[in-house]
Amino acid sequence: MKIPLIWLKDYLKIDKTPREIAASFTQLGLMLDKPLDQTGVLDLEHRMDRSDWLSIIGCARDLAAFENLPLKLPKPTSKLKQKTLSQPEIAIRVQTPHVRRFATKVFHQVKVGPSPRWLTERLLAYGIKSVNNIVDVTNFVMVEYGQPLHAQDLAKLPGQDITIRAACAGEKLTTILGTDIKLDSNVFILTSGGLPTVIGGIVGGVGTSVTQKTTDIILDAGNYDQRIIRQTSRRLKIINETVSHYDKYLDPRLIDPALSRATSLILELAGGTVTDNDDYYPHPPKPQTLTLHWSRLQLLSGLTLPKPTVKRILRALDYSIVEEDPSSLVVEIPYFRTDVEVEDDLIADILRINNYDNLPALALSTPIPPDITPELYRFEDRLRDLLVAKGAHEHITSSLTTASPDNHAITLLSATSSDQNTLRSSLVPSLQNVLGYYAKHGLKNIALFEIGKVFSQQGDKYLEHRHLSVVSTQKIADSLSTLMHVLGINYHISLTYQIVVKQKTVGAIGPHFYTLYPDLLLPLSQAYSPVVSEFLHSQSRDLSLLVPPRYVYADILAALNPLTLTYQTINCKSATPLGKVNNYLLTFTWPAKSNTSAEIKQILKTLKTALSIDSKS
Amino acid sequence: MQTQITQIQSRFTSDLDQVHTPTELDALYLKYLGKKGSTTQLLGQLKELSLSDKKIYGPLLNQLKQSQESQIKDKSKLLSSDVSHLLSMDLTIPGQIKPIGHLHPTTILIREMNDFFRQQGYSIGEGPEIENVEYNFRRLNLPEGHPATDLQDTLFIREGDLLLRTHTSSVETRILSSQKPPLRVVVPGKCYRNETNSTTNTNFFYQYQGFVVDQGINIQHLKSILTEFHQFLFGKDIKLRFRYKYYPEVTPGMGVDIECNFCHGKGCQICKYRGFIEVLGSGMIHPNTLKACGIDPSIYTGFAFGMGLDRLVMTKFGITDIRKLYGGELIYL
Repeated sequence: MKIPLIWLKDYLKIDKTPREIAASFTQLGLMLDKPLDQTGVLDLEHRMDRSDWLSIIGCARDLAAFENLPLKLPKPTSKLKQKTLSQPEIAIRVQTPHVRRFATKVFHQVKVGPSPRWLTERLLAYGIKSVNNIVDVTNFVMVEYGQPLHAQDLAKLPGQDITIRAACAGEKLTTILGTDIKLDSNVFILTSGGLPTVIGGIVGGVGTSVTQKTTDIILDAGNYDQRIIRQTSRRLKIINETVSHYDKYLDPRLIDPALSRATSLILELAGGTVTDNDDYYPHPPKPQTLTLHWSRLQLLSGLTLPKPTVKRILRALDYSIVEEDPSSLVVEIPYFRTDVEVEDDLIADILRINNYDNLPALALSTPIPPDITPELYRFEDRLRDLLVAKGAHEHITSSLTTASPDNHAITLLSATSSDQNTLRSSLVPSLQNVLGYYAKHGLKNIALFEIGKVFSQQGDKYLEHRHLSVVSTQKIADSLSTLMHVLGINYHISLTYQIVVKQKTVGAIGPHFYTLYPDLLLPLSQAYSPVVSEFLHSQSRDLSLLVPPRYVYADILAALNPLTLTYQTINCKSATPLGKVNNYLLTFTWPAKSNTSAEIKQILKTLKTALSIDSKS
Repeated sequence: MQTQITQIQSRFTSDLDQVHTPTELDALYLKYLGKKGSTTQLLGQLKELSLSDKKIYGPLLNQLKQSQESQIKDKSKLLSSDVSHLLSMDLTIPGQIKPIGHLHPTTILIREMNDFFRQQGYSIGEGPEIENVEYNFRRLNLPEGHPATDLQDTLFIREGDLLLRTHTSSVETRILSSQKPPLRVVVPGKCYRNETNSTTNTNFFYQYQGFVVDQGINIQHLKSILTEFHQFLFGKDIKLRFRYKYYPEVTPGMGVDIECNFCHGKGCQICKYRGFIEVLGSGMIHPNTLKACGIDPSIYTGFAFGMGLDRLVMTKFGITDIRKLYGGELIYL
């Protein structure tokens, strides 16, 4: 919201510097958005809740309350001479549910011309170019009160009516800026004599615009469903000053002061006469009240604010106190505060105007609640530490990837780019991309890992799982073995390259990567890495096996599995091709004083028969 | 004979000092211990000596031979081994840098923050990244049609229903809906938005969320923890600004800024001439949120805060392009 200081000072006498005023606004919730310059205009960041902060008066009201200064509003124009006809000159018909109010006034014999300087300089400071006195007044009142107004040339109105209805497919409108807009049934329009004149709440047509030649006008102020305006304007890609007001929740009662202000300004600047026309207003809202309990204020703020201070703040913000007892106040919410819904919103207003700077800081003194940190969280941190200790680098890559042929992959409905519209089902491809990037720059012998989520679709279920993936240009099995050893987990690799622990698949391995499922690993792991408190002089025996190439290491393990043996570990030191066979060098380790010879004989015999393996021990 | 021994000894020592290559060492060996070497020749003269002289010079000559042999062996080791042997003797030479594994910068920052909050009695919470509208919007007091729930800002998986969480506040509503107060929880996590990747924005980002729900929690407690947290992050001297700011899921809402450390509050390009840099949003949890999560707001009150981590990580680690932070273009050693 742009606030020209010259305009702001119409409503309150403040002698602070622009920097100080900006600081006050910032405390209030309207943070300075753009740098302060010499133009005397504050550019404040606006949040979407407060529609009244899109008006100079709305901002001035809060500032006056904050600075404890009186607010000077434009005088009401009840003394206006106004004719009321028994039949409205222009009939108003509304045939859409999106209109809460549509009020109109008709002016005759106005003199369209340039605006006075005070008006043009305020508009220009705000950023609106002067058009003529009528259009300028509608713009001025929109910025002053936050209620958009629209004037049309009565003579150019195709019919004797204004009908608001859904547009028909194929209807068109040329806007005041000369753009042709194709309409459809999702858009509601103002029509006259059956022809579109205005896109409701968004932009007027060029056909009925007010020009130098205009003498009679119809002035309207509407109140529409902000959600429809928001959707339609985004779809039509029309964002203008009118839309920025109408896409917020405005109260239809705002039309009263705005229309009356505009009427008196038009009569003052353009002369002529005014007649009341139709005011479509089927359900005028009733005033809303809220109860402020002193105990609640104290509970949320920790402060005991003096009652007169609180009442002063509420009144300065235009709340009226309708009831009062020792424990509470009942206040009527000002109609323009469409953001206030609950008692705590009143407390927000009180603390805001009282300035957050004045809140003390108080350390929590309640007992510390039980720890609910998931065990998995700590476990994953341990995995990170172990992998880093092994020299691997942690990476975090995007969860969104290019479309996948995998029919379990989840595709997004809305995504800005097609190469980022699918949820990843594995961490490996993006890590391998990174590895490739490093290799391109001559960094080789690097291991990378990521712990993160992967996603898949099973029927109508959308699943997410936590994965740990390690990729490396080096021998990947060493990293896996070391990690599992430190976690105290015995595993083997199945013939389908699954990492298996106690018949359960806990991951998968490939030539340059492995993936583990941390949630399955956690219950299998030991809380502490195995520590040996004394030297055990274990015995070990090497075994060199010449295995036909149709068998792999997993087959050797499978053959040994049914035997009852006492060896502690089996380690494959190397596997090298030797002629037509592969030479596996295995080391078996037994606890001290085991009968190793007997067992190794048994092992040999088993392997020879089971896998037709030639061997030399 | 004694003089000859001494002479050979001293010549050998000075000769050995001149040796820098294995070839030179071979030559030295031949010079003293080869067939015609001076030490060998001296040993040859031994048989011509008298028995009593043999008894004196025999052991001496043998000692000389052995000492020369072992010195040559040592030198040979020194020459054959790489320079590191030499380097280990010269402690003034700096060592070679060997690569080690690194945690991701975001993990490092999350751990630092977790450490701080663990000390304050907070647990760490987690939740799904595929979220439904109920937990991501509705229970956070964001009704249908609220501008913050616009389709163009959210990555939907199934229209009007499933989406990728847009903030870690969804974990707050999940925990509040499933656990009983008192609760003190922080939630670090990945969130998503519908955005084209650029140097400053990606379609995912990291947030750090925190919330406390208990009896008697007020806004002063929030101000206190946020003050301590920012002092922990930026140092004791950091200047903070607490101001009102609207967020739908809290009331009263509170924005927290730190004084720009480039201009010290005067206003510069870095802080967009504000003098302060916005770091965090917070407030007292909206009674509608508590109610939606099954907590009675007349008994329990609470606060929540949330901040983006990426900008902070980039500042702390001097990374200028967010795509490098998450695209894997971090240059580690």
